Amino acid sequence: MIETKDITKMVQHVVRRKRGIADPQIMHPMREWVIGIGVAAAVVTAGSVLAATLYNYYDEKRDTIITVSETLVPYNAALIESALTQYRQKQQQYNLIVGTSISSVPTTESTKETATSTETTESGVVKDEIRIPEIIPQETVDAEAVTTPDLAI
Amino acid sequence: MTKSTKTTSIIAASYFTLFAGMLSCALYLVHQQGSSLDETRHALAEHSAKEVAYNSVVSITENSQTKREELAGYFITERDTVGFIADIESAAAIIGVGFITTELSVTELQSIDGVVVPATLVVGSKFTGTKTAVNKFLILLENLPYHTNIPSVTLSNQSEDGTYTGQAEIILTIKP
Repeated sequence: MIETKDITKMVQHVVRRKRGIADPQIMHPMREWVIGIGVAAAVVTAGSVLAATLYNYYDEKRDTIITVSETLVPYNAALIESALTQYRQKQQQYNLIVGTSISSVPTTESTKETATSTETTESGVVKDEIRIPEIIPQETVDAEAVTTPDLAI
Repeated sequence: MTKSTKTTSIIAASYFTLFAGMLSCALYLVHQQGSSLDETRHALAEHSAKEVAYNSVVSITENSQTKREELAGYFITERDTVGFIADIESAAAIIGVGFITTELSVTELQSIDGVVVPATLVVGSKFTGTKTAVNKFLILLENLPYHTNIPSVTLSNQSEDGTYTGQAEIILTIKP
């Protein structure tokens, strides 16, 4: 029969075995040295890679041209010139009509009123020509026949 | 674990923490400086673009001075309205047309759906004369040296005396 003494012995045996055999050599210089060299190499490599990456990142930015789209004030010079030309012609024709009316002496009704103005530029090129259309004399218009006055220019 | 091991471990952990912190701080500063660099470069680019736009506007303003002044002359101002009526009346008289102003009103500058509609002077008129004179007067109206719009013209022939009577509405854009 197993007694308490035997059980205690067995337990003590097990416990003693678990402790194992103590390593008499505490220091392993070669192992520690290799580990140290390895960690240092890893740190230096990681640092170098990081530094190189950062350098490249900011170096590339230096060469990058930033384009900012600023809305320029639209100025259509051709349109302005066109408008000015149109208004200059109007002004010229207006002056011509008024001027012609002042200078013209009333003539016979059959006279065809035609006025032409030609302006020559400095280069000698004909710049503009204004023509007042031919107007049908009043006498030739049959008042009865004309229901809608034909004033087509 | 002996006391010496514990001390060594604490010192090692402190060093590790210290250097890790310094590395993080350095990386943070680099990142911050990088962001600052980006902002500065964008600000410089915007400044350059604005400078180009400013120079462009100055150049356009200087070069178009005479043209703008000339163009402005083709728009009447509110104070010129009486002078305009006098001018057109005298021109009509020169041509040989009787001219009467039947309406004179000003519509104020207004904004319709974000589009600015300039103020206009509306001149209603009635004119009488021979066919030749009326014809000439219509050509005159078409060639008024102002920014105008003539939306309606009506003519009637007085068969008794051969004269023509007409009505025209002239809308002139007023320079603000």
